[in-house]
Amino acid sequence: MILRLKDIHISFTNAHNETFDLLRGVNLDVEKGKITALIGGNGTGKTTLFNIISGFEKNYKGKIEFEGHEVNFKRMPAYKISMEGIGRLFQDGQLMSGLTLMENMKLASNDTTGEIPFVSLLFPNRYKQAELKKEAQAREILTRIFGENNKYLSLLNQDASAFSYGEQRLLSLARMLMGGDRLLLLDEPTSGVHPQYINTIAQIIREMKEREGLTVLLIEHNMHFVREVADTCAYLDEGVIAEVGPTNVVLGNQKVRNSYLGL
Amino acid sequence: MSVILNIKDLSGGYQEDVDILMGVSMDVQKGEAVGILGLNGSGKSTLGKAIMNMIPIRYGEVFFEGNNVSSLTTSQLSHCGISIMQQGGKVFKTLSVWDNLQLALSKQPKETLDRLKSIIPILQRPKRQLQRLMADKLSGGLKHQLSLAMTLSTNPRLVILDEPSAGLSPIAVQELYEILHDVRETFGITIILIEQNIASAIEFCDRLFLMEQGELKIQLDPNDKEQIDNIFFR
Repeated sequence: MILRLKDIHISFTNAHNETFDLLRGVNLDVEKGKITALIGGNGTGKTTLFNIISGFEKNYKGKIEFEGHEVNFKRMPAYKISMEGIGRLFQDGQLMSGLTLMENMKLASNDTTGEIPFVSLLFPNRYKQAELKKEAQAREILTRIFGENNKYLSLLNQDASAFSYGEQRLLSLARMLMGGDRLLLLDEPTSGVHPQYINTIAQIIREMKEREGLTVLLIEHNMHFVREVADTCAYLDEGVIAEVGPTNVVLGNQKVRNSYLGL
Repeated sequence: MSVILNIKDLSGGYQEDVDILMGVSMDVQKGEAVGILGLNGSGKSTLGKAIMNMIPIRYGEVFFEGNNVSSLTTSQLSHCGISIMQQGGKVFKTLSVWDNLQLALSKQPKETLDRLKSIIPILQRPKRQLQRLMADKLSGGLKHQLSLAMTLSTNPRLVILDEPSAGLSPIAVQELYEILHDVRETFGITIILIEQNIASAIEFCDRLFLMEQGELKIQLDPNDKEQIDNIFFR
């Protein structure tokens, strides 16, 4: 078990002082080395749950265990959680504009050589080696996703803001593969992405799971993709995990079919 | 049928020296739905923005209902009868649903809201509820409905929809496309649909174009299963 959510509650109050309970006791175990899909209608709280796990939402009740220890996520700023090994792809996943594509890729690496003051001055070689390694890794990832001699390899020095919305989503997913994370939270990795790339993304996620034992929790509305990659599926409905189990069982469940898939 | 939109050799991009569109030409017939498909970064959204004059055009012309509209600004175009619904269902997040609608409808005749009400479910809720509901608290499906209502508020005759189904749950996608069918049938609006959801585009559109590196490369017939399988599901 890499992540365990125990009885997570969250409610919101609007400007008219009306309270709405969004999550009403979510219990979920995310198994290490597995891919878990979190499905559920729009507005059921899937992204809010991701916000809680990645430290953007502190106003919740309940307990979270990460790698067997109870971690107080409420007291940890989001960047610290990310340094613990929980990476996240946002729904409107964008690159950092003002930085080039390569700089964006390098940012995500967990290799911090050269980030400690003076190290890059005292050990210029070591710093240079690390930079070269990151660059090679970035090139390799882009080649794996987009193929040999793809256009992104020639646009590595282009400012990130020059890429289209869909491209930025895709490239920010590529950026997550730079490593360092043990749990990836992917918020709709395939939304707005061309089918050809969706298959490649599915393949890469599966490979990373098998080769590096990576755990993935993903929110997704593309059922074809969910069937393709997810070992486990959890259905969030009315504030609780209403169904959880092997993907084909959950997607075959009558309630899920009626109220979510519309079949 | 008559041609409602005619694009001639449209070229341009976000920066002056880098063209994203490489001479796009196409005709859209009145009342039809035309789908634009293609890889990420092929220039689909850029084409939508270029028609709406939201980016610098370096070369080429756009004719709407026979008139050259290339030099009109985006707001003039929307008064002439072309609207765009941008990616991600854009609404004013800090305003209530009702205020969003009021903004869009401020200069429109009263009947417009009633007309929209008849086909867009979120508008059928009581006014009091819409006044209290903040736009950023809407679920994805409802946000797209609101965004669509705002897009349709100027009574356009041509609408460009940029990935209306992205991020919606399967059931919300179905609902949205049912609404879009109504939009076509009830209002007789011509639609240019930019989509990654190929299944929805095939079902909805009369004609499909495949965009590659800034050019409209292939025209597809949505009923030609073999050709579509070859291109998208190899």
